[in-house]
Amino acid sequence: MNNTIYKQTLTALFEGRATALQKSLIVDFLSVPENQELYFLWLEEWELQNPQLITDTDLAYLQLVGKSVNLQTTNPPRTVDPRRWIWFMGIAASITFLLVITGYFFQDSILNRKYSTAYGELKSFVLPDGSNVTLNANSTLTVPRFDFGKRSREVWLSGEAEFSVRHLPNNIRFIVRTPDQLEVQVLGTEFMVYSRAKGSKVVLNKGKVQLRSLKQQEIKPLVINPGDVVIISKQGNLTLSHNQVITAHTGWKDHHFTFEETPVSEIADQLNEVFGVRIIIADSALAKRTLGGTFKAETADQFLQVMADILEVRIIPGNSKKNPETYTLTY
Amino acid sequence: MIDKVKRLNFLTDENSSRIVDSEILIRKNFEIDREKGYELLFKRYYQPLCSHAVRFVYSKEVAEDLVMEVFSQFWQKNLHLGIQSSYRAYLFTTVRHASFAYLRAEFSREKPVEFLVETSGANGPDTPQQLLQFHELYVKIEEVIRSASPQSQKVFVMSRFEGKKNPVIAEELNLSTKTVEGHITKMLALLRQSLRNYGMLSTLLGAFLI
Repeated sequence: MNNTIYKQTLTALFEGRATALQKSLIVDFLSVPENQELYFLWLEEWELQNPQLITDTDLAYLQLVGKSVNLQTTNPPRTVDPRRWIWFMGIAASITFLLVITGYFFQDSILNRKYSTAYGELKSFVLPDGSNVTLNANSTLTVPRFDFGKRSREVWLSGEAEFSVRHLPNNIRFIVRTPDQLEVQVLGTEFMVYSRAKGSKVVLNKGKVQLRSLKQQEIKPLVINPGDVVIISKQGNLTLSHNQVITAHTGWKDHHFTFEETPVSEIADQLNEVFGVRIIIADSALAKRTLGGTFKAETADQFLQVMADILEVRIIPGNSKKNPETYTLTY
Repeated sequence: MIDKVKRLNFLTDENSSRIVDSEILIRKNFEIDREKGYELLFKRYYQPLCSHAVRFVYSKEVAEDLVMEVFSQFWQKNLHLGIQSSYRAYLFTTVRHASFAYLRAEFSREKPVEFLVETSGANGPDTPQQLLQFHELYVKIEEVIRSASPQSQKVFVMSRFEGKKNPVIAEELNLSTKTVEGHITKMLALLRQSLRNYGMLSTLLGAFLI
């Protein structure tokens, strides 16, 4: 008896047509252990040729993998209750939806870390790549949490900060961006970026820096050297001055304020930027007076005191209930 | 002498060499990458195993559930290491035992028990008689179902096999829900009776599912 006949006989068995005689033959055949393998082979073939249902095997595999990963102990299969399944899926879907929405809104705080200073506060810290930053008052520096220094080093600055950027072995550039679309690129160097409502400024202490305003993309980026100061106008025009005294621009790190024929109105601006205090200058002539020199002031009061002394004016506090604090300068 | 001859036939037979070859790829994969081997195993046998199971349990959902459970345990217990026979033989055997256990839990007189899918395979291969009986079981089931009225059959298949809800069936066939329920109940009773009468649920087959 060769296997073809056995195969046919077994097929009869599979289909429920086998006679008692055939079944007896089959018992003999299957008594040989190796033949059982044949039996299962033919059974597989027969099932493939006569499917009783069609499955989505790929989908099932995905479900199985998910199940296998989560399984701690064996679960006995239960008679499936579609209602509970739908309820469960509904909850799962809602939770997933909420997580996605939450993730979307908090994406910024998840992906980025914000360093902020209050009025009159200075902060120094180290970035993930080893660069040092000193943040002036009322400023915010946003730094990506993940992979900083791996593929890029981009930070966002609103306010004033001094950077001491480490040169990385992978030569990835350090880029500072500001709200008015200023872009400062460095490899490793010491420089300062100022970016507030009235405009932006870059001051270079050591090394080389390349900068441009994205408002004027056609213009080639400007490369500057130590001692250079660049002022960026609202339109994105760059004005370069060489051989500047750097300490005048970075003195804030030591609570120093440096003025060089600076009008009182501008000084009042700085006071507001750093201390959040508003100055009302009663006299327009007073507003145009200029001051020169460096002085130290850690609080708004100290600052105002110095100004009052130099200008020989009085300082009248405004209604203290109001926020921000207001002072009036007058003779 | 005769034994040797039989074995040689087995090995040189075109079909037999296929037995050795066809699972070799899967086995090799298991050696290198367990997950890949598992995936190949699943994708090859899932469909025919479900088809086989559904002949017993007559429900798509239950059949797929059982087969998934068998594979799940296969993965968890690292059974690809311990099986002496082909994976095919193991899987088909385990799936049919699981299907049988399911039917037993559903139809037998004994108090319904949470049945477990017996997958350790410690019982060894089935005897030829046991193998036969499995076929006789699903043939019997098919027979019983065919003995009912065409309407009953239709309702039963829609309900149990396809998993449709009674109101849905009622709507599709233009019947009342009560009528639908009646058909299903009748069919289940028929099955229960036949299977018990034929000792399908408590003889040899049941004996090894301790």
